[in-house]
Amino acid sequence: MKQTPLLELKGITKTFGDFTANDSINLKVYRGEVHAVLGENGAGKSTLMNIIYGIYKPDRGDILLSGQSVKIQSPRDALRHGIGMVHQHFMLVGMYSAIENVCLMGEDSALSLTNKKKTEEKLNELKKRYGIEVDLHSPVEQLSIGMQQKVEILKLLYTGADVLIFDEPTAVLPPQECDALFDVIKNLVRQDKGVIFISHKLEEVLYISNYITVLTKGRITGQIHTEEADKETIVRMMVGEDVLPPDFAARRAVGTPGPVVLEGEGLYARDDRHVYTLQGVDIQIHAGEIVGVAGVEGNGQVELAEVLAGVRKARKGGRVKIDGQEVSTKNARAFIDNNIAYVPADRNYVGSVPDFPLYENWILRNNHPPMKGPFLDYGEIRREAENAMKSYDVRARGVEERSANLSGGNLQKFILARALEKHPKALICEYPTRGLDIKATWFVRDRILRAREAGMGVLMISGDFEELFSLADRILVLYGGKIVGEVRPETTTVRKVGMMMMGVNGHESD
Amino acid sequence: MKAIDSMRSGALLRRVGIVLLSVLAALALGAVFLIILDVNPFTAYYYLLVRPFSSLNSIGEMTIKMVPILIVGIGVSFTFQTKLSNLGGEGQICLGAIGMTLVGTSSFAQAVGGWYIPVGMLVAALFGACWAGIAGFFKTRFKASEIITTLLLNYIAVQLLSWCVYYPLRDTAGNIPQSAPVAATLPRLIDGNRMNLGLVIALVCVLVYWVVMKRTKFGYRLRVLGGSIKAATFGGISKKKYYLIVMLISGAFAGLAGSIELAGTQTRLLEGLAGSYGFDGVVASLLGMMNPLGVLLSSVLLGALSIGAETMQVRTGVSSLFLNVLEALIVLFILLGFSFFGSGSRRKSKKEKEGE
Repeated sequence: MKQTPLLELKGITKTFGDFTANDSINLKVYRGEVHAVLGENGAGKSTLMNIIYGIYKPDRGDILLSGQSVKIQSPRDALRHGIGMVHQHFMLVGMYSAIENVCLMGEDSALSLTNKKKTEEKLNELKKRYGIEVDLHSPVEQLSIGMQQKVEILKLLYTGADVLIFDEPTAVLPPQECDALFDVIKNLVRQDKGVIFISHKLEEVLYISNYITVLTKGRITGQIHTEEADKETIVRMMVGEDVLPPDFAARRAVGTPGPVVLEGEGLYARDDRHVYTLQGVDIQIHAGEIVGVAGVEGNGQVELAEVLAGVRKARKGGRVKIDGQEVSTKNARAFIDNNIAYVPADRNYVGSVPDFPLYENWILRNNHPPMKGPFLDYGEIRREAENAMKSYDVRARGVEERSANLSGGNLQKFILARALEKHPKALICEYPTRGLDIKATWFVRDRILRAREAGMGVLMISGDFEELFSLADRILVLYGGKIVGEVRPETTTVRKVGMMMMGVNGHESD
Repeated sequence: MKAIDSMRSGALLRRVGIVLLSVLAALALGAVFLIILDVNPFTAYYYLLVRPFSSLNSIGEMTIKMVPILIVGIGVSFTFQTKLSNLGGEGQICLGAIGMTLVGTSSFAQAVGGWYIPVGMLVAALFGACWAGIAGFFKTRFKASEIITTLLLNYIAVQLLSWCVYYPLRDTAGNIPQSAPVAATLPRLIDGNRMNLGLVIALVCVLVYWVVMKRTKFGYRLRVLGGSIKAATFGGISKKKYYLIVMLISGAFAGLAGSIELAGTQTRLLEGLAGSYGFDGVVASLLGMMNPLGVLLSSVLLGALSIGAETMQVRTGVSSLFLNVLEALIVLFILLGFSFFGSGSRRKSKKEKEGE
């Protein structure tokens, strides 16, 4: 039906010790096609791309370019074969302009003026051909992230790349710049380039790709033309079973909120750079409700959570009350003793000490760990940790395992178990499912709902609309450190909340 | 600090291996210097490393040197556990010795004899703690680097000690700038051997350190603070409070070391009493990777070296200053070793990432 594929992988296998990162992967990328590789964190996407890009050598298998078998030894080799990769972290020199960055790629001296002129001409031509709008002369560090990404793309096109690999390109972009990226990608395939698009976001894969390969635990668990695919089919491919996503929203309808358990009045706070990112917020969290907080990152939501969790000082006379009693935000221990549980955004350095074994991390944020006389009762601590790990399905080699060795999902389950095991009055969680795979995400969401059902007051900061809309009883939108709106998910839309997050009042735009 | 980081993590065998190899590498490089000096390195190293253990007498001498190093080293290890440093051992020893002298030459001591010793030690520990506490205060109040402040406080303490022996505490009976002798010296453990009670106290310190770090809430909190400051905040552990406390503890240990040196060995306050014990303690802590047993073993090594250096000087003509060269080389190799081969080194962390 089609010509020979531009790039073909045959039986690529790569192992690291006992761990099989890629198991006989076959895939074909044709000209004029966006081939999406979809998989959760740790599914082996990055390993596979690094093999194509010459960073790793496969244990077995062949890479064919236009039907010819090739050995790719290094990224330079890959570029010579016409394979280019747009990394998540851009490979650009910040002080240099786009032109100078491109010159750095070439064999000729980057300092020569004539080369610069030639490069500029060629770049302008490329810009026109692929419809990429970008400033070639300013230092790239002054450009927005989206623009820098375009410089990367131009750089690869300049070197003559035919296959462009995008490694989670939207992870770093604000929503409005994603559309611009998709336009560029569409132009690329229209001009007969081949694109590999790596992502773990279903929606964008369905939107942009022509063909989808689903990778799970290093193996291909599904390959499908995008026009034949829908969300459910793909989720089934990823999860590997016939499970439907649980209906969280239905559970929200049950129960009525109780009295206020946690309350903030006139909260101001500075972030670590001493900038006031929280500018006067009043908030009440009732027992048995989930209060979602939406906002573009850096608009004070993390500081809000930290003040309410007692780990950041409230300034300008802001007050926090637990069960109606005022508690000084200078005293983190008082919050712990009052049973305010906290699941921070940074699991590795805040929620746990990376070098500690799990059983030692079990008694973090705990003023009254099991004691035997004057000493810590490690026997009991281990037992507690073991039991919790069992009931929260934390997969680790045991309580001796260092927490740094746990995957994100398992560590998050562990931290959640630690927080909930003490039956807190209130649970504060920041980005509870960020970076987790689907199953772990469902697990965490289920436990948060259970916490609500058990009568805890929950504050949930999230960047995930699906999460906010399916879990929260009400959503507060933060912008510029202030609450600019409070909505109920049943009566609003993602678009409206998105507008509010950008500081546009929902009513004015209507 | 990065090297210290990697000392706290990674496989024990690997860490011990790095330390042992560093010591060997330092000895090997030292041998080159010895050969240049036209001295047989084996003879020199025999006097330096083997001779100190050859008789009960010299072992006794070794313990006298080792005890202050060990106690200071334990104190320094406390601070290293939280990733602070205390380079002010020398000054804190001076203060401890002054405290011990004040008590030991008082009429109270004349009256009770040897029983003044525990009181004197307590006062000495208090003095040392206060001295280190100054650095701790500046650290927690103004974020002043404790590395700088502890170091600078040494100079003040040394001058303070000089002033004490020239003026207020000077023994009027003689012409030498020194204090009167203390009422009683530390009891000896064996007749005819200078080994004294200080050794027992030092070993108790090791035990206390081990138990506190491994078994108590307090030690746990110190380790959390050292592991991740943000995790400590999350856990409700006040950085300021524990930074101050750990500096006080560290100073108290050094002060105690000063009191033992005074009441056990010198018997009078005199200039230069602190010797190089302050920095030897830091070396012992690093060399022992803050592990109680490790610090003990490294203190034994350092104590033996300082006894051996004197013998070596007499027998082979190599200046005892050669010891400083050797110690510096050991520290250098350890830091290099952990930077390149420790668990936090770049090469290793890249490998760990590959597994993802």
